[in-house]
Amino acid sequence: MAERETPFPVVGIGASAGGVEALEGFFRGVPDESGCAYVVLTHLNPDRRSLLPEILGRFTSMPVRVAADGAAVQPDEVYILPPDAILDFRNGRLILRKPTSTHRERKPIDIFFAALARDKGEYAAGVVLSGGDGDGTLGVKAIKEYGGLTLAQTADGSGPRYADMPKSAIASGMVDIAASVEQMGQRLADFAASFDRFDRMVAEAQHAGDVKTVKDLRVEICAILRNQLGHDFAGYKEKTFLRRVQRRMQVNHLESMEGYVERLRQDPKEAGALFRDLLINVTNFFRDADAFKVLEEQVVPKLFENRAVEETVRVWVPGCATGEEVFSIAILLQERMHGLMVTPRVQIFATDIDEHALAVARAGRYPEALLDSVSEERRKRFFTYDDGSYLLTKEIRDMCVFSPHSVIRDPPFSRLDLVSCRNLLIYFGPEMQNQVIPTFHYALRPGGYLFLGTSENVSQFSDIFAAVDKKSRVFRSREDGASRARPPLSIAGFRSAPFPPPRPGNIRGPGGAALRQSVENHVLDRFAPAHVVVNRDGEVVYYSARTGKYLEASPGAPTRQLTTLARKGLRLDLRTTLREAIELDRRVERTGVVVEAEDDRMQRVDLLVEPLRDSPPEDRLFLILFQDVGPMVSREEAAHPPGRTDETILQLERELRDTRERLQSLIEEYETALEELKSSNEELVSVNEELQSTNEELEASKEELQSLNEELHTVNAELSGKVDLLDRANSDLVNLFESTKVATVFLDRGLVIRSFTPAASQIFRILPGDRGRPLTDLASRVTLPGLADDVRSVFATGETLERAVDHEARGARYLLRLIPYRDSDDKIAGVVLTFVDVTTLANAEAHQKVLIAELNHRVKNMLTVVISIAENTSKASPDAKSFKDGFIQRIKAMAKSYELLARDNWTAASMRNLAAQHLAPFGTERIVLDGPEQPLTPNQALSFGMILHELATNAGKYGALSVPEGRVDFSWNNLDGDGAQAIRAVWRETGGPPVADAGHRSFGMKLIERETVRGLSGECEIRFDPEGLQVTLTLPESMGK
Amino acid sequence: MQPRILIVEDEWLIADLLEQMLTELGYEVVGPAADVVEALALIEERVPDAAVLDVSLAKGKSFAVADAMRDRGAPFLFLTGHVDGDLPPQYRSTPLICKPVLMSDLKAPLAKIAPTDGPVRCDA
Repeated sequence: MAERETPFPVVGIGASAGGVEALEGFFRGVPDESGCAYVVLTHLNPDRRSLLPEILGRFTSMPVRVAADGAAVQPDEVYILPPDAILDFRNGRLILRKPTSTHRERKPIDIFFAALARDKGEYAAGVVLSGGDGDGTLGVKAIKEYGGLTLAQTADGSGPRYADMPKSAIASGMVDIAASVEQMGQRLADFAASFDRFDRMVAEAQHAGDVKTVKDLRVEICAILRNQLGHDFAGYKEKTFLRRVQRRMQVNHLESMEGYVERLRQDPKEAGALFRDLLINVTNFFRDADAFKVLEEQVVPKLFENRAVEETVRVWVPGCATGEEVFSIAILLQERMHGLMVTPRVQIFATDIDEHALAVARAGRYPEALLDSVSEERRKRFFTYDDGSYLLTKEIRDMCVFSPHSVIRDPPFSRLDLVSCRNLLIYFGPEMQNQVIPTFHYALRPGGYLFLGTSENVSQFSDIFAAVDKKSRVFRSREDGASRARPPLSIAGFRSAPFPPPRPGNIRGPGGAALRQSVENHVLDRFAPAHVVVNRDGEVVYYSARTGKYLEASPGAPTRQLTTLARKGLRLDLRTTLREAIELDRRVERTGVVVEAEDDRMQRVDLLVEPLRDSPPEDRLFLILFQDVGPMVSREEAAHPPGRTDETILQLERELRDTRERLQSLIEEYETALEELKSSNEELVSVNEELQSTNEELEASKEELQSLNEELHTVNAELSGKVDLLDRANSDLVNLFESTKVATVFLDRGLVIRSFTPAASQIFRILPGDRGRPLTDLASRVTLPGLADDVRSVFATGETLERAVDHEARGARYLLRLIPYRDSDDKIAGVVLTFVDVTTLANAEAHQKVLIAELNHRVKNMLTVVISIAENTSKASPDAKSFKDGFIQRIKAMAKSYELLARDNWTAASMRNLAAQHLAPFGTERIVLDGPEQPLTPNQALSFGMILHELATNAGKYGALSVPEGRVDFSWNNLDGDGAQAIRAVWRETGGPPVADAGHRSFGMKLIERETVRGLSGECEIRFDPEGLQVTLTLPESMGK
Repeated sequence: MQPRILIVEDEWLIADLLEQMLTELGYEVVGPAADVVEALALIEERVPDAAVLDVSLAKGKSFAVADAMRDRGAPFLFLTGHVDGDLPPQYRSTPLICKPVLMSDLKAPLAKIAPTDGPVRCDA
């Protein structure tokens, strides 16, 4: 653990088919700041980008990111396995690896869980959600073994869509909490919070003052376990012990240890669960290396001793779970076989009631973490490494046959050389154990071996099993003992006792039925003829009293075969009579059969065979009665019954004896044939087994197909979702194309048109059918010189090019952009041509240029005019002050005209406004303006402005405005004569000082004249009337009304 | 004999200024003409020794006047308010004086094309 200071739990979440839904539910249930880091592992198609991060981001406030190589995992963050990668975990960091093979069947969940377990130990948590195969089962096992917490999704209302994966995990017995997805988040948060509590508990346990409580409770728990299960955990490591107890408390929602002790007392199931949790160590390969060493050295060689090639070494591993034990034994056997000259066939039957576990075992694929105890040499020889997990070689897998089978319910295998049943019995109560161990004895051939787990024993069965190595729990089936008995298990269900053996307790009662039964028993014992009950195979299932006269034990192995048991003389008749009764299913009698007794005496007997109607026809039982006829006689008397010494009879009897002897030899031949038949039958059985294993392989293939199918199903669902999205995007694009006015053409490398917008028809003569044709084939409405070169250059440099293109026919100008078309790999796959209409922009630009030039011109002209005015003013001014006044006044007057024009955007100015503006400073009451509304052009306005200024200034200095009573009339009107329109304006002063023509014109007067004549192309008349100055201006009108 | 200089300028105040300057520099002023027609008439009357032409007149450009001058082998210079005169190619080498214009701007270029004895001092 890298962050030793603040360790936090890391939760691995495995999901496959139907997992997205489950993940949604899961993350919805995770509370904020749960304190855990989450790593999500799914079976993703390696070729596709996954949308999972986006999807999950909607359901959790935690940051969701794709797992990156070397990333240190942080609490309250979510990491997602990217497609086509394998995730490992070391030192608190994610390690990302590219799978080397293209093999699809991987177990990413197992691999990550196992790595997580090894790295985080008790801080690891594994969650198995919906999925279609057995991935995660081994991983959960690893987490559990290292002390972590394991959860699996249970089937509830909205339960997993594909329940195989969580079911498999739950069936392994390694899942602490089976819950619905919504509840898991809270449980994990509790889990994260529990570490503090646990540390406190341990601290308390180690702290001298409080030692008592925790230690006492621990002792109490040990006592409960010892009482209920007979196993003492007093020597168990304290911290581990408390950790397991704490985990069980958490699973049971219990806060205090006292409460848990109470629960243990009341609930034997809880004791069992704790017991199993405590026993979990490492279900790795070669679990308990010492025991396997003993097996390898003492048992395995014996199995191959004196075996011929055609013989089979048969091994049974009941309760094989996920198969580590099976393959461990297979490896040992294979190693042994390697050194043998003669290698018999080896068959390992691995059975379990849990089919999911079998599926995992059958796959023979294990994450690296579970192979810790496998030596490097063995790894190399018996495994192939495949992307983070190890796959057992075919050689080993072929030795093992996996099939569903219950040790308790199903009939056992037989003639086995080795039964390895490690850590299965701990799950059984003593009664079950008492059933199962004799079953093993039955299944083993005499001298066969039994291999148990370290906490299991057969000490109660020392009569049938002898210890080979007591410590390693290796036992040997005793050849003597009550060998070859029917498995005691089956007896309970065997309907073979229509006459139950008398029970002594029943005689005591004098009451009606009981009395009757006792009388009947008595009569049967004392007065009834001797009888036996046999089944259809001729095996005796019931003996009456006093059958010794007719039956005797035969030499060799004990048997219950009636014909073998029958005494000499009786055998033949008994066989034929019985055969007849069986075949006809009716009562058959045979009288006068002679039975030989020990002392050479004969007894004549009547045989009666009668089917018992109570028994079902297929399991019909037959009652055989032996009825003595007359007393016992000597051989001679029997051969020659008194009064029958007739010669003919003797002759007949001789013939009969000969016939009988021939019959006997025929029977013997028949029996030999039967034996042969039996052996053929056995061969058939073995063929059947082969078929079965083939069938299992087929089953496995079918499962693989199923999972593949399911995967395809998910992929298909995602695909159709994508197609929908694509459709929508496509229709958006089509609409965009239709609506955009920007002509766009998509070209590929060969200038072939891939697509275009409708606006492109303005540039090219392009029709919808032209897709796929080279652009160069099309007539262009614009000239595009060097287009092909430009396209090539875009391909070469990957840079965007811009060109201005003129569309002369339309008088338009386009900006042509050549943009590289990059595909998803960022490679240039084509070129996009866009034509942006920039006509208005170009026009505006040109116009702006003209405006600026004009402005420049005007400003410079104006400055020159100013210089001229300055020059003239200075000439007319006697001193600097009068120059300054005159100059500034004139400049101001010009500014006023400009201001007025600017107000109307330099379109026009009204005569009245202009006059008012310029004359206002001289007092409006003394100046009368009169005239129609007359617009003036900007040039006219400027000139008029200057003229009015000069007139007013002159009047103010020397004319009417220089005295208070003087006044000025300024009037104008339109002349409508001679077809040419003209404006006449008259300036008349009255009431001023007397005026006389000075002869010499001032600059002001010159300016008025010149401006009128030169600036306005008009006429100017200046009259120095005695009553005042009168100026008449006539100008051509250039602006309409 | 003072060289005769034709002034073509539509803005009378500027023409007035030019006239004063040229007079001061010792030239005899012809015109000033406000448009091409007037200028051509003056040239027709008697070819001046040189001309100062405002490029942009109220009624079009003054290049017709320039052509007439060149045809008669008389030198001239341009006066303009534009930044880059944007002159036709044949006038690229013609001296160009930018407005606003001062006497010092005119003196040297004019002396080149129409040498004069020097300013006539007239104190009027």
